Parts: sequence; structure tokens; C-alpha cells
Amino acid sequence: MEAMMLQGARPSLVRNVIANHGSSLNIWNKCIVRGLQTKPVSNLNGYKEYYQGLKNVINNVPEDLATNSSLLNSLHKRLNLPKEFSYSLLSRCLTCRSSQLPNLSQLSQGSGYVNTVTTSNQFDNHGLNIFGKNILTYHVTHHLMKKYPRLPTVVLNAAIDAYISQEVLANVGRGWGIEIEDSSVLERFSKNEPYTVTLGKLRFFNNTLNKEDGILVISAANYSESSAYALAVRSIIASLWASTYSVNDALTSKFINDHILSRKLDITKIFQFEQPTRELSTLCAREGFERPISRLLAESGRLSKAPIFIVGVFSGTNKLGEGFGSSLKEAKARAATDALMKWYCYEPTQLQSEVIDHGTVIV
Amino acid sequence: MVVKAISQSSVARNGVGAFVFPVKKITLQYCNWGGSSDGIRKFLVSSRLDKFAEKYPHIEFNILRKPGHPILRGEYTNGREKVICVRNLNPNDVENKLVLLKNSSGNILQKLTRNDNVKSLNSSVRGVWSPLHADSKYTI
Amino acid sequence: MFSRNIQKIVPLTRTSFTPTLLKVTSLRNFSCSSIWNRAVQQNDLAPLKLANELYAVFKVHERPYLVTEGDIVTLPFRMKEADVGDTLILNDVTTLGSRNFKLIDKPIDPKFYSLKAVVVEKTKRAFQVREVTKRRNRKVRHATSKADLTVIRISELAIK
Repeated sequence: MEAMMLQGARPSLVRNVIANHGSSLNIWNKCIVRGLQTKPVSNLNGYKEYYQGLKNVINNVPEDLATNSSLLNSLHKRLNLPKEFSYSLLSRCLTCRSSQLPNLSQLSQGSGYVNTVTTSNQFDNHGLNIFGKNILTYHVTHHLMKKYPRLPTVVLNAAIDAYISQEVLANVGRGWGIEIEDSSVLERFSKNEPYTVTLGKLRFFNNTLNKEDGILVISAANYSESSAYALAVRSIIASLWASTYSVNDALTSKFINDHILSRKLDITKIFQFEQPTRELSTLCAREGFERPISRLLAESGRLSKAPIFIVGVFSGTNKLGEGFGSSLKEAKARAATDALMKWYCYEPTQLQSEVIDHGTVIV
Repeated sequence: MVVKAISQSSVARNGVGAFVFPVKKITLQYCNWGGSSDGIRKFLVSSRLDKFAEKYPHIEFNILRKPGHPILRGEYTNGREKVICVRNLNPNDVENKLVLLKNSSGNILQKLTRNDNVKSLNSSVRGVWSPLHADSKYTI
Repeated sequence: MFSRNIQKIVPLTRTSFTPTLLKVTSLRNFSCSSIWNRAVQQNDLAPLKLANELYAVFKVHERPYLVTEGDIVTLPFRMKEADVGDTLILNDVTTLGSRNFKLIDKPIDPKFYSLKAVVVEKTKRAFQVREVTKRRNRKVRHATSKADLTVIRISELAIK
């Protein structure tokens, strides 16, 4: 997917200020972006040393350095993480495997080259992410199946996605105030930025960035910002479990309840019925109810240009659902949809015995 | 033919379950030479900022020296930032502005109409009144 | 989905000392079975406990706010006592209700429910300048206003 996007002027004054203090940083930056062809480089050895040091620190985060990182500290406090969750582990959650460079042939293309440091496979969040995804899927599925025991599988999957899809988790990560590392290593070197700042930011190889005079080129969805955010969120959940399960194993499920399952989802908006009336009569036949019959309950302005009909669908004397519409057909379909929705979105109460579901109605 | 699914996204409700503090970073920018930075310099030299930072450990505080009028800049989890110029303000007022940044969620200040006090994502619990369902004396 | 609606309020039990549980019935509402009526007559809160959606009307400085769980409420003053992130326990509740039932009292005894809110933000209204004029006078006074607000989010609404 190729798309062009104009990048607005970045309002971050702090960076600009520091950039002005460093000598002619903008010119340097351009030289690097174009592939290190020209060389106004004066302090190359210093840069190499900084780069190597950064690489060592990221590939094996020392706890004392991570504890000093104000970014990691504030994130830790903001999420109210327990003290068993170490700062170096939190920093590791922010290293994405995508921060490893794919191959040398792509180097000339983007600023991904200068933004990132190659990371070791042993010290990124790849494994944590897989584990976190499993924990999340388990908890969310458990919660939804307990709350709505009659959800059809398609809808259940869509509902799980509504809580833990990549985009949703990315929004959760943004809401947690995780910052992304978007300055180049050279930029960081020239303002002599301490490693603790890089440790507290989300590090990933962003091949959607191809900075050239305020223009962004979006070239692939693979290593996007949102995927990196989702990786970080899943890894933080996995790390929380790993560091607290021996002390308090309910902590992770509480964390997921508080941060993920507390989000608002209207489950009825997921359903799409194609032939609700047929589906309802099949359902009634299966469950041994009387055949559903639609009856007109009220109407207004049948001969006008804006008629309204209210139709109820009954099984014997029981009213299953009700719907409105500007034609009888529409109202009947709405009534059947309402009845089906009430069946599928049924929520058992705590006082009640367990609900045994016979599965989705197949017409 | 079975029921199909339309993909939806859940909506964040900060405060239900966990509350994540909206302000993530506050930058205090001052000038070492200008007279308008006098108050903020006094504020920075005193232990007030330390106490403030200790009280709110979820906020990252940065101090930046830059020529010009002094500025407080708050960055928020919703991606916005709030900037307040604190030129010629005394240390007390600087701290008040800091409190203002801390208390804000980063949203733009909005005009509110009367009785627009409750914003809800939930559908009405009691349902919506309908003339066709009402008693005959209420029907139109 | 079409909503059936409130139509007639029938007080089923009322004594001067206990809070009153009212049943809101609809003549066309067939889904109310006799189980509910029995529960109401015993004057316990089972119908409200069984409801999956609840609303409450609470009062702050005599102003009523009708809320459900997760709602954002803007209070028109600065709450000095509370900091952002603090949890408030709201105990001046005049109504607790579900779709067909409601409990009314002034105020309801807090042992029946828990209504909590989190202070999300302490902010202000947008700055406004109002032009104040008098007839047959050329003077225009510019009255400014930027009033304080406290924004809270209802984090818990449950029947105990």
C-alpha cells in the first residue's frame, strides 16, 4: 500500500530547541537520510561509541539504569504496576522485534535505518507478546461467554476482536501515555541524550516513516506504529503475569478487567441478520416453542406518506419481540430481529442455574 | 444462512475500572537571563517542584533552559498539549499554573449549553417515549 | 430496536418509613410476569438486583443528575476537596431504577446501593465575553467569564 501524507509541523519545541544548540543538526540529518553519501561528519567515532553503547543497553537493560529513567518511572506509576514488575522488564516490553532491520537492500529507502538500533532476539518483546495475546484472548473469551452464553461463534469472535484487536490495543497503549521513539540515533547523539530516555520509549522499526521535508510515505502496514503499540500492551500484560503470578495470581485478571474489559461495547451492534423471520421460526421449532406469529399492535397514517406500523412477534401468548417500520414488512423484520437479539444477547443472573446453549440457529 | 458479524471497536472509558492520569509530561522552560523568568527561577530553586513531583509520580517533569519568556508545557495521553506562558509570574502563581496543567485532561475548553451535564455512551435505561404505546389520553 | 415504554406509575407499596419501590408498567408490556409482582409486594430489591441496566438520580448542591454506569458528569463548580483521580462516594441518591421498576426516597438509604465516581478532570468553561448594553446608551460593557468545572465519571452503580 502506497500512500502519501502531509506531516504537520511538529509542535515539540523542546526538540527544536535542543536541535538549535547542536551544531547544524538539520544538515547532518539530511546527509544521513540520503545514505551517508556526503561527509560533513566531524565526530564519527563519538557517534559510533554512542550507537554501540545504546545497542548494548537496549539488548540487555541494566536495572539500575532503567530505574533512573523518568519515562519508565512515570509509566510504571501511571499504570499502577506492582513493585515486582521491574523497570528493566518494562523497558524490554517496549523493544519490538521489528526494530531489527529487515535487510540491507532497504537501507537506502527510509529513516528507519537511523531511527533504530539492531536488537537481539533474546531481549525483545516477541515472546512476551505471544504469551500476552494468549492471556488476553483467554480472559476476554471467558468474560464474554460467561456474560452472554448464547452468542453465535461469529459474533463472539467479533466481540473478542472489539476488545483486543490491534487497533484497540494500540489505542489502549496511547491512552497509557507510551511514547514512541521517533528521533534518529544521530539526533539523540547530537543533543547528548541519556540512554534512559530511549529506554522509556517504544522502539520499533517503522517502515511507514520515510521523512523527507515534512512528507510521510506510508509504504507497508507491517511495521506500523499501531502494531508496535499493540505489541507493547500485550507484552506488559504478559510481564505482569510473569512477575506477579507467584504472589497474587488474580492481579493480571484484575488488570485486564480494569483496562480492557471496562471499555464500552454495545454487543447488539455486531449482529447482522439476513433473514430474521426464517431464523426465528427455525429457532422456535428447535426450542419447542409455538410457531412465531407477527401481529400488528399499532399503526398511524397508513395512507399518508409517512406511515408507522408497530408489529409484535408472538409465540402463543408470549411476546418475543417488537419492531417498528414504515411498512408492515419492515416492522415484521424488525420484530423478528428484536426477538432474535433478545435470545442471543441473553444475560443470565447470578441467582440462576447454568445456561446450556444449543448453538447458533442455522437456516 | 446464519447470523453475520459487523466488526466493532470498544470505546475507552477512563475511570471505569482503572483510572490512568491524563497528564504524562510537564516541561518547565525558563531563561537564565531574562527578568520575566524571575518567578519561575525562584520556583525552581526552591524545593516546591520536588514536593510536587513526589506527590504526582505519574508525571514526568522536564526542565529546559531556553532564552525568551518562561513557559509551562503539559503533554497529555490524548495526544494534545497545553502551553501556558508564565512571564512575570511569582512562584505562587507558577505553581498554580502547574496545578492547572495537572488537573486538566488535555481536552480543549468547551462552551456548554444549559443542562448538558451528563454525557453517556449507554442507551436509555427506561427507553424512549412513544405516542403509539401511550395511554389514549396521551396519544396524538 | 424499538423501545416499549413507560406509561403509568402504580405505587404498589408505600409506608412512611421504608423506601418505596414503584413499578412502572406498560399496558402493552407482555414481558412482565407475575414473579415480578410478587417480588415487589414483598418490598425487597430483587427486581432491581436482577436488572442488567440501572440508572440513578443523584443530587449535588440540590441539582439532580440522571446517570448510568460509565457516564461523564460535569459539575458546575470546582471541587476543592477532591484531587484528580480521587473516588467519590455519592450518597444523596433520590431514585434508583431499571427499565420497569424504580426505588424512590429522599434520600435513599446508602445501604441499598453503591454509587461511585472518579474525578476525571478539574477544568473550566471556554472563555466568553458577553456584551452588556443598556437601551439608549452608547456604552457597552464587556463582561468576561471562565467558570470552573469538575468532571466526574460514574465508575460504579450497583444494588447491594
